[in-house]
Amino acid sequence: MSEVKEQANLSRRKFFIGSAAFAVGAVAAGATVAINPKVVAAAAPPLPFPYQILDVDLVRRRGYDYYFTGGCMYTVAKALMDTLVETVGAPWDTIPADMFKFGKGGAENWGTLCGALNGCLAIIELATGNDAETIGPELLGWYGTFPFPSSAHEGYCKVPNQITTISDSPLCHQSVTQWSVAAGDRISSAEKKDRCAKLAGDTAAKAAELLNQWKLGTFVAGYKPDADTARCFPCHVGPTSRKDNVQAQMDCLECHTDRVNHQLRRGK
Amino acid sequence: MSLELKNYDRRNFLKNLGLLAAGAVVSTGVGSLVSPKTVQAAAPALPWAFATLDTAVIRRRAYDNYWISGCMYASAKALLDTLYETSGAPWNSIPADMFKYGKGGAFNWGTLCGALNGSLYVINLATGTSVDQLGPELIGWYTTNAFPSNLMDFYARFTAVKQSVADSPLCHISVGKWADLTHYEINSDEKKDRCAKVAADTAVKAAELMNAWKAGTFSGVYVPAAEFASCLSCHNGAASQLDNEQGLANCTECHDDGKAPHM
Repeated sequence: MSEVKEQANLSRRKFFIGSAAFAVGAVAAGATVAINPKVVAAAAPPLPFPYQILDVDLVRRRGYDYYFTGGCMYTVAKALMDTLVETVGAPWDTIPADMFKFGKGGAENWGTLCGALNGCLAIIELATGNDAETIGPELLGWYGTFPFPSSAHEGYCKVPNQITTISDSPLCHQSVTQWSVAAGDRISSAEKKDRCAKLAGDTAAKAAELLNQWKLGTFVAGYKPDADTARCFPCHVGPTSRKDNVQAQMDCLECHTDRVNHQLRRGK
Repeated sequence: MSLELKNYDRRNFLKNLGLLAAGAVVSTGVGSLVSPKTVQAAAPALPWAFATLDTAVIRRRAYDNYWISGCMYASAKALLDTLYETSGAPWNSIPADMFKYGKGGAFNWGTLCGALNGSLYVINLATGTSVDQLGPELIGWYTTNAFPSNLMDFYARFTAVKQSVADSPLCHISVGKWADLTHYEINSDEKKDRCAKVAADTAVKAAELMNAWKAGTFSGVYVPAAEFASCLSCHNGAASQLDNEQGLANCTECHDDGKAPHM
Protein backbone atom coordinates (compact mmCIF):
# COMPACT_ATOMS: atom_id res chain seq x y z
CA MET A 1 0.00 0.00 0.00
CA SER A 2 2.85 2.41 0.75
CA GLU A 3 4.07 1.96 -2.79
CA VAL A 4 0.61 2.84 -4.01
CA LYS A 5 0.58 6.03 -1.91
CA GLU A 6 4.04 7.02 -3.07
CA GLN A 7 3.27 6.46 -6.69
CA ALA A 8 -0.11 8.15 -6.54
CA ASN A 9 1.64 11.49 -6.86
CA LEU A 10 3.20 10.55 -10.15
CA SER A 11 0.73 12.02 -12.58
CA ARG A 12 1.65 9.86 -15.56
CA ARG A 13 0.97 6.70 -13.61
CA LYS A 14 -2.41 7.57 -12.19
CA PHE A 15 -4.23 5.23 -14.52
CA PHE A 16 -2.24 2.22 -13.49
CA ILE A 17 -2.24 3.05 -9.82
CA GLY A 18 -5.98 3.33 -10.06
CA SER A 19 -6.15 -0.13 -11.56
CA ALA A 20 -4.04 -1.59 -8.76
CA ALA A 21 -6.11 0.17 -6.10
CA PHE A 22 -9.26 -1.29 -7.60
CA ALA A 23 -7.84 -4.79 -7.49
CA VAL A 24 -6.66 -4.51 -3.88
CA GLY A 25 -9.85 -2.78 -2.84
CA ALA A 26 -11.96 -5.54 -4.32
CA VAL A 27 -10.21 -8.11 -2.14
CA ALA A 28 -10.42 -5.96 0.98
CA ALA A 29 -14.15 -5.51 0.46
CA GLY A 30 -14.64 -9.23 0.85
CA ALA A 31 -15.56 -10.08 -2.67
CA THR A 32 -14.41 -13.53 -3.76
CA VAL A 33 -12.13 -11.98 -6.31
CA ALA A 34 -8.82 -13.74 -6.81
CA ILE A 35 -6.11 -11.53 -8.23
CA ASN A 36 -5.25 -13.09 -11.55
CA PRO A 37 -1.47 -13.34 -11.66
CA LYS A 38 -1.58 -13.22 -15.43
CA VAL A 39 -3.17 -9.78 -15.37
CA VAL A 40 -2.13 -7.96 -12.21
CA ALA A 41 1.46 -8.60 -11.27
CA ALA A 42 2.90 -6.99 -8.18
CA ALA A 43 5.36 -4.16 -8.50
CA ALA A 44 8.93 -5.33 -8.13
CA PRO A 45 10.27 -5.14 -4.59
CA PRO A 46 13.55 -3.30 -4.06
CA LEU A 47 16.87 -5.13 -4.14
CA PRO A 48 18.32 -7.14 -2.59
CA PHE A 49 15.75 -9.93 -2.71
CA PRO A 50 15.74 -12.18 0.38
CA TYR A 51 18.30 -14.96 0.23
CA GLN A 52 19.03 -18.19 2.06
CA ILE A 53 21.88 -20.68 1.71
CA LEU A 54 21.55 -22.67 -1.51
CA ASP A 55 22.31 -26.31 -2.25
CA VAL A 56 25.26 -25.87 -4.60
CA ASP A 57 25.10 -29.40 -6.02
CA LEU A 58 21.42 -28.99 -6.82
CA VAL A 59 22.14 -25.74 -8.63
CA ARG A 60 24.97 -27.41 -10.55
CA ARG A 61 22.75 -30.28 -11.70
CA ARG A 62 19.94 -27.98 -12.76
CA GLY A 63 22.41 -25.71 -14.49
CA TYR A 64 23.46 -28.70 -16.60
CA ASP A 65 19.96 -30.04 -17.29
CA TYR A 66 18.21 -26.80 -18.26
CA TYR A 67 20.88 -25.99 -20.85
CA PHE A 68 19.26 -28.36 -23.27
CA THR A 69 15.99 -26.39 -23.03
CA GLY A 70 17.12 -22.80 -23.52
CA GLY A 71 20.91 -22.43 -23.62
CA CYS A 72 23.53 -21.17 -21.22
CA MET A 73 22.06 -17.92 -19.89
CA TYR A 74 18.62 -19.40 -19.42
CA THR A 75 19.92 -22.47 -17.64
CA VAL A 76 21.96 -20.67 -15.00
CA ALA A 77 19.24 -18.14 -14.27
CA LYS A 78 16.56 -20.82 -14.05
CA ALA A 79 18.73 -23.15 -11.96
CA LEU A 80 19.39 -20.41 -9.43
CA MET A 81 15.87 -18.97 -9.43
CA ASP A 82 14.07 -22.32 -9.17
CA THR A 83 16.27 -23.20 -6.22
CA LEU A 84 15.67 -19.77 -4.71
CA VAL A 85 11.90 -20.16 -5.10
CA GLU A 86 12.08 -23.48 -3.30
CA THR A 87 14.45 -22.24 -0.63
CA VAL A 88 13.21 -18.70 -0.09
CA GLY A 89 9.92 -18.33 -1.99
CA ALA A 90 8.64 -15.02 -3.33
CA PRO A 91 9.62 -12.72 -4.93
CA TRP A 92 11.96 -15.06 -6.77
CA ASP A 93 9.06 -16.42 -8.83
CA THR A 94 8.30 -13.03 -10.38
CA ILE A 95 11.23 -13.09 -12.80
CA PRO A 96 10.44 -15.15 -15.93
CA ALA A 97 13.34 -17.47 -16.77
CA ASP A 98 12.45 -17.23 -20.45
CA MET A 99 13.70 -13.63 -20.52
CA PHE A 100 17.24 -14.99 -20.30
CA LYS A 101 17.06 -17.01 -23.50
CA PHE A 102 18.59 -14.26 -25.62
CA GLY A 103 21.95 -14.76 -23.94
CA LYS A 104 22.84 -18.07 -25.55
CA GLY A 105 26.11 -18.20 -27.44
CA GLY A 106 27.23 -14.87 -26.02
CA ALA A 107 23.98 -13.02 -26.88
CA GLU A 108 22.14 -14.54 -29.83
CA ASN A 109 25.30 -16.40 -30.83
CA TRP A 110 27.37 -13.24 -31.29
CA GLY A 111 30.09 -14.61 -29.02
CA THR A 112 30.17 -11.72 -26.54
CA LEU A 113 29.68 -12.16 -22.77
CA CYS A 114 29.27 -15.85 -21.93
CA GLY A 115 25.59 -16.40 -21.22
CA ALA A 116 26.39 -18.42 -18.13
CA LEU A 117 28.08 -15.35 -16.70
CA ASN A 118 25.38 -12.97 -17.92
CA GLY A 119 22.61 -14.94 -16.22
CA CYS A 120 24.53 -15.45 -12.99
CA LEU A 121 25.43 -11.77 -12.76
CA ALA A 122 21.76 -10.85 -12.97
CA ILE A 123 20.88 -13.20 -10.11
CA ILE A 124 23.82 -11.97 -8.05
CA GLU A 125 22.56 -8.43 -8.57
CA LEU A 126 19.06 -9.43 -7.47
CA ALA A 127 20.33 -11.27 -4.40
CA THR A 128 23.00 -8.89 -3.17
CA GLY A 129 22.13 -5.45 -4.53
CA ASN A 130 25.10 -3.13 -4.32
CA ASP A 131 27.38 -5.94 -3.11
CA ALA A 132 27.23 -7.32 -6.64
CA GLU A 133 29.95 -4.77 -7.36
CA THR A 134 32.44 -7.03 -5.56
CA ILE A 135 30.89 -10.47 -6.10
CA GLY A 136 30.27 -10.05 -9.82
CA PRO A 137 33.87 -9.26 -10.77
CA GLU A 138 34.97 -12.20 -8.64
CA LEU A 139 32.81 -14.52 -10.74
CA LEU A 140 34.07 -12.98 -13.97
CA GLY A 141 37.67 -13.37 -12.85
CA TRP A 142 37.17 -16.95 -11.69
CA TYR A 143 35.58 -17.88 -15.03
CA GLY A 144 38.62 -16.77 -17.00
CA THR A 145 40.99 -18.90 -14.96
CA PHE A 146 38.93 -22.08 -14.48
CA PRO A 147 39.52 -25.22 -16.59
CA PHE A 148 36.07 -25.93 -18.06
CA PRO A 149 34.25 -28.22 -17.89
CA SER A 150 34.69 -29.71 -14.42
CA SER A 151 34.35 -33.44 -13.81
CA ALA A 152 31.51 -32.88 -11.32
CA HIS A 153 28.91 -33.87 -13.94
CA GLU A 154 30.40 -37.25 -14.85
CA GLY A 155 27.66 -39.18 -13.09
CA TYR A 156 24.86 -37.92 -15.33
CA CYS A 157 26.29 -36.09 -18.36
CA LYS A 158 25.83 -37.18 -21.96
CA VAL A 159 29.53 -36.99 -22.91
CA PRO A 160 31.89 -37.92 -20.07
CA ASN A 161 35.63 -37.36 -19.73
CA GLN A 162 35.96 -34.25 -21.87
CA ILE A 163 39.09 -32.23 -22.40
CA THR A 164 39.32 -28.99 -20.40
CA THR A 165 40.48 -25.53 -21.44
CA ILE A 166 41.03 -22.18 -19.74
CA SER A 167 39.55 -19.29 -21.67
CA ASP A 168 41.48 -16.39 -20.15
CA SER A 169 38.37 -14.42 -21.09
CA PRO A 170 34.70 -13.95 -20.16
CA LEU A 171 33.81 -13.94 -23.85
CA CYS A 172 31.91 -16.85 -25.34
CA HIS A 173 33.97 -16.49 -28.52
CA GLN A 174 37.25 -17.26 -26.78
CA SER A 175 35.82 -19.76 -24.33
CA VAL A 176 34.01 -21.89 -26.90
CA THR A 177 36.43 -21.55 -29.77
CA GLN A 178 39.48 -22.46 -27.69
CA TRP A 179 37.73 -25.54 -26.37
CA SER A 180 36.47 -26.54 -29.80
CA VAL A 181 39.95 -26.30 -31.31
CA ALA A 182 41.49 -28.24 -28.41
CA ALA A 183 38.82 -30.94 -28.46
CA GLY A 184 38.54 -31.18 -32.23
CA ASP A 185 34.76 -30.99 -31.95
CA ARG A 186 32.56 -28.75 -34.06
CA ILE A 187 30.71 -25.85 -32.44
CA SER A 188 27.36 -27.39 -33.38
CA SER A 189 28.28 -30.85 -32.10
CA ALA A 190 26.61 -32.66 -29.25
CA GLU A 191 30.02 -32.77 -27.56
CA LYS A 192 30.32 -28.96 -27.52
CA LYS A 193 26.76 -28.60 -26.23
CA ASP A 194 27.56 -30.99 -23.41
CA ARG A 195 30.67 -28.98 -22.60
CA CYS A 196 28.66 -25.76 -22.42
CA ALA A 197 25.95 -27.42 -20.32
CA LYS A 198 28.65 -28.46 -17.84
CA LEU A 199 30.21 -25.00 -17.96
CA ALA A 200 26.82 -23.47 -17.18
CA GLY A 201 26.37 -25.88 -14.27
CA ASP A 202 29.84 -25.06 -12.99
CA THR A 203 29.29 -21.30 -13.28
CA ALA A 204 25.87 -21.38 -11.61
CA ALA A 205 27.37 -23.49 -8.80
CA LYS A 206 30.21 -20.99 -8.38
CA ALA A 207 27.70 -18.14 -8.24
CA ALA A 208 25.78 -20.04 -5.55
CA GLU A 209 29.01 -20.60 -3.61
CA LEU A 210 29.82 -16.89 -3.72
CA LEU A 211 26.29 -15.98 -2.70
CA ASN A 212 26.40 -18.43 0.18
CA GLN A 213 29.70 -16.96 1.35
CA TRP A 214 28.23 -13.48 1.10
CA LYS A 215 25.23 -14.58 3.13
CA LEU A 216 27.48 -16.08 5.80
CA GLY A 217 29.72 -13.03 5.85
CA THR A 218 32.75 -15.02 4.72
CA PHE A 219 33.04 -13.71 1.15
CA VAL A 220 36.48 -12.39 0.34
CA ALA A 221 37.38 -11.31 -3.17
CA GLY A 222 40.41 -13.25 -4.32
CA TYR A 223 40.66 -12.67 -8.07
CA LYS A 224 43.50 -10.60 -9.41
CA PRO A 225 44.56 -10.17 -13.03
CA ASP A 226 47.66 -12.12 -13.96
CA ALA A 227 50.99 -10.36 -13.84
CA ASP A 228 51.13 -9.68 -17.58
CA THR A 229 47.75 -7.97 -17.71
CA ALA A 230 48.33 -6.24 -14.39
CA ARG A 231 51.21 -4.41 -16.04
CA CYS A 232 48.81 -2.85 -18.55
CA PHE A 233 46.33 -1.46 -16.08
CA PRO A 234 48.34 1.23 -14.27
CA CYS A 235 48.82 3.01 -17.56
CA HIS A 236 45.55 2.30 -19.34
CA VAL A 237 42.66 1.35 -17.04
CA GLY A 238 40.92 3.46 -14.45
CA PRO A 239 40.58 7.12 -13.57
CA THR A 240 43.94 7.20 -11.78
CA SER A 241 45.85 5.48 -14.57
CA ARG A 242 48.25 7.51 -16.66
CA LYS A 243 46.23 7.36 -19.89
CA ASP A 244 42.78 6.09 -18.85
CA ASN A 245 42.14 5.00 -22.43
CA VAL A 246 40.98 1.38 -22.12
CA GLN A 247 37.58 0.11 -21.02
CA ALA A 248 38.10 -3.47 -19.83
CA GLN A 249 39.25 -5.76 -17.05
CA MET A 250 39.93 -8.70 -19.34
CA ASP A 251 43.25 -10.35 -20.06
CA CYS A 252 44.79 -7.85 -22.50
CA LEU A 253 47.26 -10.28 -24.02
CA GLU A 254 44.55 -12.60 -25.29
CA CYS A 255 44.26 -10.22 -28.24
CA HIS A 256 46.92 -7.54 -27.91
CA THR A 257 49.99 -9.65 -28.52
CA ASP A 258 51.17 -7.77 -31.55
CA ARG A 259 49.19 -4.59 -32.06
CA VAL A 260 50.23 -2.34 -29.22
CA ASN A 261 53.06 0.07 -29.78
CA HIS A 262 55.27 -1.30 -27.05
CA GLN A 263 54.93 -4.88 -28.23
CA LEU A 264 54.21 -6.54 -24.90
CA ARG A 265 54.56 -10.27 -24.91
CA ARG A 266 53.33 -12.69 -22.32
CA GLY A 267 56.06 -13.37 -19.76
CA LYS A 268 58.43 -10.69 -21.02
CA MET B 1 4.51 -20.47 4.53
CA SER B 2 7.85 -21.36 3.01
CA LEU B 3 8.51 -23.83 5.85
CA GLU B 4 5.24 -25.62 5.20
CA LEU B 5 5.97 -25.79 1.54
CA LYS B 6 9.31 -27.44 2.14
CA ASN B 7 7.36 -30.61 2.87
CA TYR B 8 6.12 -30.75 -0.66
CA ASP B 9 8.24 -32.17 -3.38
CA ARG B 10 9.85 -29.57 -5.60
CA ARG B 11 7.56 -29.99 -8.56
CA ASN B 12 4.45 -29.70 -6.46
CA PHE B 13 5.80 -26.57 -4.81
CA LEU B 14 6.29 -24.80 -8.09
CA LYS B 15 3.06 -26.14 -9.56
CA ASN B 16 0.88 -25.23 -6.63
CA LEU B 17 2.36 -21.90 -5.64
CA GLY B 18 -0.06 -19.81 -7.68
CA LEU B 19 -3.06 -21.88 -6.58
CA LEU B 20 -2.14 -21.57 -2.91
CA ALA B 21 -1.80 -17.82 -3.18
CA ALA B 22 -5.15 -17.45 -4.91
CA GLY B 23 -6.77 -19.86 -2.44
CA ALA B 24 -5.52 -17.88 0.52
CA VAL B 25 -7.31 -14.81 -0.75
CA VAL B 26 -10.59 -16.60 -1.30
CA SER B 27 -10.68 -18.62 1.92
CA THR B 28 -9.71 -15.90 4.38
CA GLY B 29 -12.39 -13.56 3.16
CA VAL B 30 -13.03 -10.00 4.35
CA GLY B 31 -10.08 -7.79 5.14
CA SER B 32 -7.35 -10.17 4.08
CA LEU B 33 -4.75 -8.91 1.71
CA VAL B 34 -2.09 -10.75 -0.17
CA SER B 35 1.08 -8.88 0.71
CA PRO B 36 3.21 -8.31 -2.37
CA LYS B 37 6.29 -8.56 -0.17
CA THR B 38 5.65 -12.17 0.83
CA VAL B 39 3.50 -13.86 -1.81
CA GLN B 40 3.98 -12.69 -5.34
CA ALA B 41 2.19 -13.78 -8.45
CA ALA B 42 4.17 -16.12 -10.63
CA ALA B 43 5.69 -14.50 -13.68
CA PRO B 44 3.38 -14.51 -16.69
CA ALA B 45 4.54 -16.37 -19.76
CA LEU B 46 6.30 -14.51 -22.57
CA PRO B 47 5.71 -12.57 -24.72
CA TRP B 48 4.28 -9.75 -22.63
CA ALA B 49 1.73 -7.55 -24.40
CA PHE B 50 2.76 -4.01 -25.21
CA ALA B 51 1.40 -0.92 -26.93
CA THR B 52 3.39 0.92 -29.57
CA LEU B 53 6.18 2.85 -27.89
CA ASP B 54 7.02 6.56 -28.05
CA THR B 55 10.68 6.54 -29.05
CA ALA B 56 11.29 10.19 -28.14
CA VAL B 57 10.25 9.50 -24.54
CA ILE B 58 12.50 6.47 -24.39
CA ARG B 59 15.45 8.38 -25.80
CA ARG B 60 15.21 11.12 -23.22
CA ARG B 61 14.70 8.72 -20.33
CA ALA B 62 17.60 6.51 -21.30
CA TYR B 63 19.91 9.49 -21.59
CA ASP B 64 18.84 10.71 -18.15
CA ASN B 65 18.90 7.25 -16.54
CA TYR B 66 22.49 6.69 -17.59
CA TRP B 67 23.72 9.23 -15.06
CA ILE B 68 22.08 7.25 -12.27
CA SER B 69 23.51 3.80 -12.93
CA GLY B 70 25.08 3.29 -16.32
CA CYS B 71 24.20 2.02 -19.74
CA MET B 72 22.39 -1.27 -19.13
CA TYR B 73 20.25 0.18 -16.37
CA ALA B 74 19.52 3.20 -18.56
CA SER B 75 18.28 1.32 -21.59
CA ALA B 76 16.31 -1.30 -19.63
CA LYS B 77 14.67 1.20 -17.26
CA ALA B 78 13.72 3.58 -20.06
CA LEU B 79 11.98 0.77 -21.90
CA LEU B 80 10.41 -0.81 -18.79
CA ASP B 81 9.08 2.47 -17.40
CA THR B 82 7.56 3.42 -20.73
CA LEU B 83 6.08 -0.04 -21.18
CA TYR B 84 4.51 0.13 -17.73
CA GLU B 85 2.98 3.51 -18.46
CA THR B 86 1.55 2.48 -21.79
CA SER B 87 0.78 -1.19 -21.17
CA GLY B 88 0.55 -1.64 -17.38
CA ALA B 89 1.38 -4.84 -15.53
CA PRO B 90 3.37 -7.03 -15.59
CA TRP B 91 5.90 -4.52 -16.88
CA ASN B 92 6.38 -3.22 -13.32
CA SER B 93 7.43 -6.62 -12.00
CA ILE B 94 11.02 -6.49 -13.26
CA PRO B 95 13.27 -4.42 -10.96
CA ALA B 96 15.38 -2.09 -13.08
CA ASP B 97 18.11 -2.22 -10.44
CA MET B 98 18.90 -5.78 -11.51
CA PHE B 99 20.46 -4.34 -14.66
CA LYS B 100 23.07 -2.26 -12.91
CA TYR B 101 25.61 -5.03 -13.34
CA GLY B 102 25.90 -4.43 -17.06
CA LYS B 103 27.66 -1.08 -16.99
CA GLY B 104 30.94 -0.88 -18.84
CA GLY B 105 30.33 -4.27 -20.45
CA ALA B 106 29.54 -6.06 -17.16
CA PHE B 107 31.18 -4.46 -14.13
CA ASN B 108 33.56 -2.59 -16.43
CA TRP B 109 35.02 -5.74 -17.94
CA GLY B 110 34.36 -4.42 -21.44
CA THR B 111 32.29 -7.35 -22.72
CA LEU B 112 28.78 -6.97 -24.19
CA CYS B 113 27.76 -3.30 -24.32
CA GLY B 114 25.28 -2.79 -21.51
CA ALA B 115 22.97 -0.76 -23.72
CA LEU B 116 22.60 -3.86 -25.89
CA ASN B 117 22.31 -6.21 -22.92
CA GLY B 118 19.50 -4.23 -21.31
CA SER B 119 17.65 -3.77 -24.58
CA LEU B 120 17.92 -7.46 -25.40
CA TYR B 121 16.30 -8.39 -22.09
CA VAL B 122 13.30 -6.20 -22.84
CA ILE B 123 13.02 -7.39 -26.44
CA ASN B 124 13.02 -10.95 -25.08
CA LEU B 125 10.20 -10.09 -22.68
CA ALA B 126 8.15 -8.32 -25.33
CA THR B 127 8.58 -10.66 -28.26
CA GLY B 128 9.34 -14.07 -26.73
CA THR B 129 11.01 -16.36 -29.23
CA SER B 130 11.05 -13.59 -31.84
CA VAL B 131 14.04 -12.18 -29.97
CA ASP B 132 16.01 -14.61 -32.10
CA GLN B 133 15.25 -12.35 -35.08
CA LEU B 134 15.06 -8.92 -33.45
CA GLY B 135 18.06 -9.41 -31.18
CA PRO B 136 20.62 -10.10 -33.91
CA GLU B 137 19.19 -7.19 -35.89
CA LEU B 138 19.78 -4.86 -32.95
CA ILE B 139 23.29 -6.15 -32.39
CA GLY B 140 24.13 -5.91 -36.08
CA TRP B 141 22.77 -2.37 -36.25
CA TYR B 142 24.84 -1.41 -33.19
CA THR B 143 28.06 -2.58 -34.82
CA THR B 144 27.51 -0.45 -37.92
CA ASN B 145 25.88 2.65 -36.45
CA ALA B 146 27.79 5.89 -35.96
CA PHE B 147 27.50 6.68 -32.24
CA PRO B 148 26.41 8.93 -30.68
CA SER B 149 23.58 10.53 -32.63
CA ASN B 150 23.04 14.27 -32.32
CA LEU B 151 19.35 13.85 -31.46
CA MET B 152 19.98 14.68 -27.81
CA ASP B 153 21.95 17.84 -28.41
CA PHE B 154 19.23 20.14 -27.15
CA TYR B 155 19.37 18.61 -23.67
CA ALA B 156 22.71 16.80 -23.56
CA ARG B 157 25.64 17.97 -21.47
CA PHE B 158 27.89 18.05 -24.53
CA THR B 159 26.88 18.82 -28.10
CA ALA B 160 28.24 18.20 -31.59
CA VAL B 161 30.13 15.16 -30.35
CA LYS B 162 32.37 13.21 -32.72
CA GLN B 163 31.01 9.87 -33.91
CA SER B 164 32.65 6.49 -34.32
CA VAL B 165 31.53 3.10 -35.59
CA ALA B 166 32.35 0.22 -33.24
CA ASP B 167 32.33 -2.68 -35.72
CA SER B 168 31.70 -4.72 -32.59
CA PRO B 169 29.08 -5.25 -29.87
CA LEU B 170 31.81 -5.16 -27.22
CA CYS B 171 32.04 -2.20 -24.86
CA HIS B 172 35.83 -2.48 -24.95
CA ILE B 173 35.98 -1.80 -28.68
CA SER B 174 33.04 0.60 -28.86
CA VAL B 175 34.34 2.84 -26.10
CA GLY B 176 38.00 2.38 -27.00
CA LYS B 177 37.55 3.51 -30.59
CA TRP B 178 35.61 6.57 -29.56
CA ALA B 179 38.18 7.50 -26.93
CA ASP B 180 40.97 7.08 -29.45
CA LEU B 181 39.15 9.32 -31.90
CA THR B 182 38.30 12.09 -29.46
CA HIS B 183 41.25 11.74 -27.05
CA TYR B 184 38.89 11.92 -24.11
CA GLU B 185 39.65 9.75 -21.10
CA ILE B 186 37.39 6.80 -20.36
CA ASN B 187 36.33 8.33 -17.06
CA SER B 188 35.80 11.82 -18.47
CA ASP B 189 32.42 13.53 -18.46
CA GLU B 190 32.61 13.69 -22.24
CA LYS B 191 32.85 9.91 -22.50
CA LYS B 192 30.00 9.45 -20.03
CA ASP B 193 27.88 11.78 -22.13
CA ARG B 194 28.75 9.74 -25.21
CA CYS B 195 27.71 6.50 -23.51
CA ALA B 196 24.49 8.05 -22.20
CA LYS B 197 23.67 8.85 -25.82
CA VAL B 198 24.66 5.35 -26.95
CA ALA B 199 22.30 3.89 -24.35
CA ALA B 200 19.51 6.15 -25.58
CA ASP B 201 20.14 5.52 -29.27
CA THR B 202 20.19 1.77 -28.63
CA ALA B 203 17.04 1.73 -26.49
CA VAL B 204 15.28 3.73 -29.19
CA LYS B 205 16.41 1.31 -31.87
CA ALA B 206 15.11 -1.56 -29.73
CA ALA B 207 11.76 0.23 -29.40
CA GLU B 208 11.63 0.81 -33.15
CA LEU B 209 12.25 -2.88 -33.80
CA MET B 210 9.60 -3.85 -31.25
CA ASN B 211 7.11 -1.42 -32.78
CA ALA B 212 7.79 -2.84 -36.23
CA TRP B 213 7.41 -6.39 -34.92
CA LYS B 214 4.11 -5.47 -33.29
CA ALA B 215 2.91 -3.84 -36.51
CA GLY B 216 3.95 -6.90 -38.49
CA THR B 217 6.44 -4.90 -40.53
CA PHE B 218 9.69 -6.08 -38.99
CA SER B 219 12.21 -7.29 -41.49
CA GLY B 220 15.84 -7.83 -40.64
CA VAL B 221 18.21 -5.88 -42.84
CA TYR B 222 21.57 -6.47 -41.17
CA VAL B 223 24.05 -8.58 -43.07
CA PRO B 224 27.72 -9.04 -42.22
CA ALA B 225 30.09 -6.93 -44.29
CA ALA B 226 31.91 -8.59 -47.16
CA GLU B 227 35.26 -8.37 -45.36
CA PHE B 228 34.20 -11.00 -42.84
CA ALA B 229 31.19 -12.66 -44.46
CA SER B 230 33.66 -14.93 -46.21
CA CYS B 231 35.10 -15.96 -42.82
CA LEU B 232 31.71 -16.96 -41.50
CA SER B 233 30.91 -19.17 -44.46
CA CYS B 234 33.85 -21.46 -43.61
CA HIS B 235 34.01 -21.13 -39.84
CA ASN B 236 30.60 -20.30 -38.43
CA GLY B 237 27.45 -22.37 -38.27
CA ALA B 238 26.46 -25.98 -38.51
CA ALA B 239 26.51 -25.87 -42.30
CA SER B 240 29.95 -24.26 -42.55
CA GLN B 241 32.96 -26.23 -43.65
CA LEU B 242 34.84 -26.08 -40.35
CA ASP B 243 32.22 -24.95 -37.80
CA ASN B 244 34.98 -24.03 -35.40
CA GLU B 245 34.22 -20.44 -34.40
CA GLN B 246 31.59 -19.04 -32.01
CA GLY B 247 30.65 -15.47 -32.79
CA LEU B 248 29.09 -13.22 -35.42
CA ALA B 249 31.10 -10.06 -34.86
CA ASN B 250 33.49 -8.59 -37.42
CA CYS B 251 36.43 -11.02 -37.42
CA THR B 252 38.88 -8.50 -38.87
CA GLU B 253 38.60 -6.29 -35.79
CA CYS B 254 40.98 -8.68 -34.06
CA HIS B 255 42.09 -11.23 -36.64
CA ASP B 256 43.95 -8.95 -39.00
CA ASP B 257 47.37 -9.58 -37.60
CA GLY B 258 48.55 -12.79 -39.13
CA LYS B 259 47.13 -15.06 -36.45
CA ALA B 260 44.97 -16.75 -39.04
CA PRO B 261 47.22 -18.62 -41.49
CA HIS B 262 45.33 -17.59 -44.62
CA MET B 263 45.18 -13.89 -43.87
